Amino acid sequence: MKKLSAFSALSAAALAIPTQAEVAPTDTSFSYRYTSYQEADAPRERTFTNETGRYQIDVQQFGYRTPIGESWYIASELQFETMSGASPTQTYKNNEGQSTLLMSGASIEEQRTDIKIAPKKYLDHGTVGGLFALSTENDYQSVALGIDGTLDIFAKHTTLIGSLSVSNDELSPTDPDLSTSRTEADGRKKRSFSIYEGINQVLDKYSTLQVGIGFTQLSGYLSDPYKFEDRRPDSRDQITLSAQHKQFANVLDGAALHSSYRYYYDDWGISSHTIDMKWAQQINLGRYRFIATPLVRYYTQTEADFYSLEQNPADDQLNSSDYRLSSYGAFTFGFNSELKLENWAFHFDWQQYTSRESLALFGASDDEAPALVNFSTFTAGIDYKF
Amino acid sequence: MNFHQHNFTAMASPCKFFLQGDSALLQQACLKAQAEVQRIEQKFSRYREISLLQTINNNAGIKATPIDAETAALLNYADLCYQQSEGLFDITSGILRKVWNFKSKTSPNKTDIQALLPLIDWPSIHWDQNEVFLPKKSMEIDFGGFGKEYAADKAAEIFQSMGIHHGLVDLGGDIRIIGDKVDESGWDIGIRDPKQPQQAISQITLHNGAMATSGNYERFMKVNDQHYCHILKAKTGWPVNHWASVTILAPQCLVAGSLATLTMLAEQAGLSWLKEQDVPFLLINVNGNQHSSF
Repeated sequence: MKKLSAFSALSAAALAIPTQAEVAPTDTSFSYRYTSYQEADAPRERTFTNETGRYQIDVQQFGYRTPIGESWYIASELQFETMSGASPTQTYKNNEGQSTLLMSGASIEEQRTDIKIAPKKYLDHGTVGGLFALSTENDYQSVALGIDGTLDIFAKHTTLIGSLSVSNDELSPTDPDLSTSRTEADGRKKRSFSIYEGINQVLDKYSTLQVGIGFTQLSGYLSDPYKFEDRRPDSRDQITLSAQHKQFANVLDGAALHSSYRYYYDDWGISSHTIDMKWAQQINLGRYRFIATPLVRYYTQTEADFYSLEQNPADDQLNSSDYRLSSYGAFTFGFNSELKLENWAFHFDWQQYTSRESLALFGASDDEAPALVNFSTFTAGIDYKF
Repeated sequence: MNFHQHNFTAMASPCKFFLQGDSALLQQACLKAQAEVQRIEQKFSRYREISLLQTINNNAGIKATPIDAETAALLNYADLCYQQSEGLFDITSGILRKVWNFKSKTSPNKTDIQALLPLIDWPSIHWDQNEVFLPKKSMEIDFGGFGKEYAADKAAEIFQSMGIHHGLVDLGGDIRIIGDKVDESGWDIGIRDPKQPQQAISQITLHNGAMATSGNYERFMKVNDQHYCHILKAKTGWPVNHWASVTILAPQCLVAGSLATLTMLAEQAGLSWLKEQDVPFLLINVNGNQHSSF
């Protein structure tokens, strides 16, 4: 009797083997990226002195990712940045109603080191991850901790996503005796608390949609000690609503259109909209796989309530002329490329960012913001998996 | 409709996905299915230091190792194979490779084999849904007897779950059909000639299910004209020597593979045993005689 049932017994036992959950990546990989970030010069006709050269940043990034045991995966990153150049210290309207830009001396040369470690555990119906990040430069220290998780439901067609993070930064401006704002800022703290909830839904075989809501609360010393007349509130509440759509397309060897929209609002009076589109095109050439991704992004924001170009505002008044708090719009155009060959991948990315007062879609102002920056980035990188 | 092919190497074998459909989706699916094969390889590899299987074996004679539901179900499957084969198929018999080196061109001596036999003892293994314990030091288990077939099934399931209906998974000759060709003409699959494994002795058209072959030509050595193949009888420690190859068709590759191995192990008795199972088969004995139910 026993032998008669071998086929059916084995078939039944084989069918009883459970389906596995999302699997932890099994590759160990090394990556290296070099990025050159170059800001365009400030417009000489609006700068007070002939100092117009702005930031140049060189970034070197080393990544190492590896599975630990069966269900853990650890991603780590080490980054070195070297910044040099000048930055805007104040913008004010002169007697003729023109905006004048004061720049810091070009002597600034800073180094920053970042370390990031993110372990992730893969479970039957989701993942649980952690994040530890440390950033240090001579005038700024930052520690951040986070946890995140995903939960798969409805036969994995729906994923709930959540994350929570906190950070604690400390300021120690160079030459603290140089100005009252630097003295005041020395040793001051800046804290943040962030929470994000999202849901990712598989719409059909070719598309997914993710929507989410995020809230961040910043508190502590939020002004910029290197700028003149920069006095910001000591708290900032930020809300973001976002949606990302991914559509696969049967073009050449496969393509995907990623579109996303983000709405942002904070209690400083800034609201912004971001629209992002990119097309990832795969092309197979024998053993090579080439992925070319052109992208475009549009951003527009309104100005903060206390943004002003007054040269000498009252000392008890909130004030900032930081161009990042002004009303403006920006376009980014870019082209990312990746060439894969067996265990290797090579990356070359380029982006051009242009921002202008007149590109603002809402709440545009007639005031010039000559500090608004244009920059380009170029990245070259290499990955090795084994 | 175009064919899409994806090649990689895993489990020491050339692996191939052969698919029809929308290429954007296929790319994604191939990477996912490949990752699944590699996951199984890593988890149950005897050769990787960090595999679960290695941990279980390292803990032999020391302590029990916690296991997950997948591993427990595979142990249950191995237990059934042991029972159905009346002890000829035993996942503790992998230890015999310590004496059987098919590259050495010399057969091991009897006393060395004899010394290992006490370590081949599946019934002595303590296991349940949560843990497994190998009671004697240097005992070991491995899923080499069916790991590749299991992975072929799992890879095919990934494709099916992603809505891919036309294709096949081929892991070193273990085939699992994802679904028939778009024109429903079936997939033509060659069965190796045991005497000239690079050539097909027969061809079969499959519309669904799986096909697995166990053969004496996969790893073997000839010593003094005697053919020693890698399929070893757990009870004696010596190779089987009756069938040159056994090919089985079954809905699942895992089942096809085990039935093939069990038939190899049963030697002469395998033919009548297999007939009772009522599955399509092609048997070729060492003299080249064929028995087929196709």
